[in-house]
Amino acid sequence: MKPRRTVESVVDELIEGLRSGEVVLGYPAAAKTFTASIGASVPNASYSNALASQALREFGSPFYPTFARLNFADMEVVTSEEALKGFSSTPKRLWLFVARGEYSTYHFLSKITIHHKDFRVLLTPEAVPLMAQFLADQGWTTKNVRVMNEPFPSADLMALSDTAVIWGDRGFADHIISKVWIENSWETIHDGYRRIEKQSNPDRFHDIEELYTSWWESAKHKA
Amino acid sequence: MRTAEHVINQAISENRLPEYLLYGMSIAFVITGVGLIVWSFVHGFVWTAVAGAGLNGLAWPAFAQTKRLRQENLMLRMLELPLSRARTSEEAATMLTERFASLFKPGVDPAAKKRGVKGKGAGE
Repeated sequence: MKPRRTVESVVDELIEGLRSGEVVLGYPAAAKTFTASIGASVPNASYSNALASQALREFGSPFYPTFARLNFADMEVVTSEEALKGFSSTPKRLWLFVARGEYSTYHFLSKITIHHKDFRVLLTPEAVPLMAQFLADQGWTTKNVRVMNEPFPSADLMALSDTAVIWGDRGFADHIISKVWIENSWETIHDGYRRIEKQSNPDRFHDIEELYTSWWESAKHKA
Repeated sequence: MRTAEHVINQAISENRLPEYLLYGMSIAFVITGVGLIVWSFVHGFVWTAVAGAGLNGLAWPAFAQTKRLRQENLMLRMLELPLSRARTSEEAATMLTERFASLFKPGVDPAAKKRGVKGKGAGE
């Protein structure tokens, strides 16, 4: 039994409809905002997660987030094994934080293969409207999807040892940085991050350095 | 006038019917097959048990088809990615035309994918 509607036929319908004006884009404001931010500053995306990751390492948190390298142009995502290279031992449970429910999360969840028996997606209430349908379509169940009551589960979840966050969206990084950096010495984090970024991205280090300043000011302001 | 999201949602919902039908067929094949096998053992009819096993075997193609349908639906949902990145309808149409193969048909252009890995990496 074949699908009644194939991707090809829907693409044709969309192209024709968009060109004739019969179909309008009409995406929610949140998605548009995200699009603009990613389009304007892709390096900032990896930057924010790396900063959050480094911040937590520096302060000895039981969380050891690494950041997956997600390429928006080609939808390439590293495997979970690669994402876990930085860990001294395999964590018992993996988390993926979706704080805002942005479209990049679709890339990630549909591409990555998690070889881990206890892998869960954690959603903030804000992320639910955008993510719920997608997760259901993809076969995720309530067993491995949790909704938080707060933007970030600081105390209880961070107290769990052997738990790792392998990826978080921009909202997650924002939160980490505003909480961890502001409450501690952010200069240490900055230096640590500079070392990492200079080694891994020498070509665009200067651009990132500039982005850093504005981004940091923004995070500080929010906090 | 419809939104792109509406078009995608409608296509996904149209694919739901065959998906549910296949689920129903799988369940019916398995239940009937198992019932037939049990009945055959009780009454000592060997060939009826073979027929029951055959019915059970028919459930596998149905499962495989269901998997295909789910994949198709997922790809339909993923169409929202290029659409959400476009600012105008024309841009969205162009993006769908140009990016469709590389975004939604992985493996079509492996060289491009390799280039992408060496380019800008970004965890969100």
